[in-house]
Amino acid sequence: MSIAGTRIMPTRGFLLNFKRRVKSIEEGYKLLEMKRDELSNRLREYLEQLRAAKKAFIENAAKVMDKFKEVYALTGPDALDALSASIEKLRIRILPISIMGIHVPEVKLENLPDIKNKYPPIVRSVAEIIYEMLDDLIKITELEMKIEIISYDLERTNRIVNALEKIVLPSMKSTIKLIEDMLDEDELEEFIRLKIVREKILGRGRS
Amino acid sequence: MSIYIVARSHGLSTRLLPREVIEALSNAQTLNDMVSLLSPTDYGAKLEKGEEVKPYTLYRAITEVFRDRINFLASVPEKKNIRDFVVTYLRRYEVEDIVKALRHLKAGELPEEILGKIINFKFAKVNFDEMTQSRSVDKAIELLKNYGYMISDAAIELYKKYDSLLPIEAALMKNYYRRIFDTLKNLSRKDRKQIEMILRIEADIENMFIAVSSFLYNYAPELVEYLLIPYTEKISLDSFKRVVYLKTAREILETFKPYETIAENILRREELIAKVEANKYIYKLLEQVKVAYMMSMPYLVYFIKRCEFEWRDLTYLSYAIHYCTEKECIRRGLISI
Repeated sequence: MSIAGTRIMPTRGFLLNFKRRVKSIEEGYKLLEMKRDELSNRLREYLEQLRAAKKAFIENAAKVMDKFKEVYALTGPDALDALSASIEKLRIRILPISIMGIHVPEVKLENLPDIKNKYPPIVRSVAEIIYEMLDDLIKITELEMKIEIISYDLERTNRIVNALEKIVLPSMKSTIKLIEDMLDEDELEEFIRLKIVREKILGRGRS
Repeated sequence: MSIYIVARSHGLSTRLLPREVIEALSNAQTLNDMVSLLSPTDYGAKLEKGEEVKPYTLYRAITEVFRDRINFLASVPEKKNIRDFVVTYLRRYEVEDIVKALRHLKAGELPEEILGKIINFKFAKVNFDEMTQSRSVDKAIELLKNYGYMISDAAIELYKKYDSLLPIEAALMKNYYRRIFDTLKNLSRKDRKQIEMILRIEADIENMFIAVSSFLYNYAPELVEYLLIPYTEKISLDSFKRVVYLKTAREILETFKPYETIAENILRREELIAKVEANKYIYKLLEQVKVAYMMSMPYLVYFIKRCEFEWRDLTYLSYAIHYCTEKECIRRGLISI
């Protein structure tokens, strides 16, 4: 007899080891359940934050994009290309933070280029608006990345928890019961055999 | 006495796109429609038919036509005083190229990349190959001196202090204005007065955008003052300098009364609309000049500006149609209609 690749032996020693194994799996199951709950809560929290941040951002972004397109068309691609090239680049650092053992990114702004005193008329008005939206844009990107990573891991954890809860642990527990029953039967058989032998020995002695 | 270059520009003006064509272009649905409408014009020869048109390809074709027209004007044989004025006037486009090249140099781009992004007129004094090979803005500024483009120490100091190319751009423009006003002295009094007026009004409008930089965008007042062009017409330079330190829109609007509509848009931070209004203002002024000065130098200025406005309008249309901008917005951004 075997279960999950392990050969089952109806012995006390095997039963004890098997019970120990089931206990550690149950502890692991509890930890994974906690992980699942925590990931669920975080996911819900990040989704709320994303919903709020995106709503305002998308409305503004649509208006800014329309304005930017007009500025781009009016200034011409070469001139606008030259203007954007001459500004210092935005620098960010992505730090991993751990949520229940999963590494999610946290964005730290290292250098936000200063646009004051840099742009000529027309371009500066749209540059200023885009500059003010940069923080929100970075925040939204960070949240989306976190949500994607957590969702993937949550799906995986959920699958493992469900498998443990519905398949592995019940199967292992029924195996324990089976072994216990078999051992009880063996004990009873042994007891009755001993009783018969005893009676035979005692009978012989009387005669 | 009619001038040969003015007579030539009359001939060339028949090749400019009439208002009806610009209107038809503004109604085009796609870039291919635009190419079809442009095929019987000077632009047709520069555009490859049959291929899918991209806005940048269209922009390069439009820019080539503009470059060819300006190069032609710079090469028309004329008396020395006329030729000096024409070439000096056209150097405003060379200044635009210099500024673009400096910005790309600041970004650390390669020389061949930079050369592909400037127009590079034949009459340019600056050797852009040499300039882009310098690989640094500081060296490029030193090189510009060899081509007669002196950048003042004050501009260089401000450039280093604010890490901004705006003072260098302003120094080049002031240099340009100084030279153009010098060459104007060699023209007839009547022509000189008219052209000076147009140039000064252009400077007034440019100064309006510059002067509000502190109030609207918190630019450093010291920098803004330096950027102002000293050749003004309806508003004095001192008034512009005062505006740099003003704190209310009402006071600024009062100072900019001669250009009220443009000023209102600037103060509402609608600089795009303000710029188009400004160009339209200059356009209307030039239309009046065209009638009054048919056979003299102001007509040439009118023709050059028409070429420029056509270039800007077609560039605008290429991208506005590509981005599916609303028809109303497209028409609003055009100078010629």
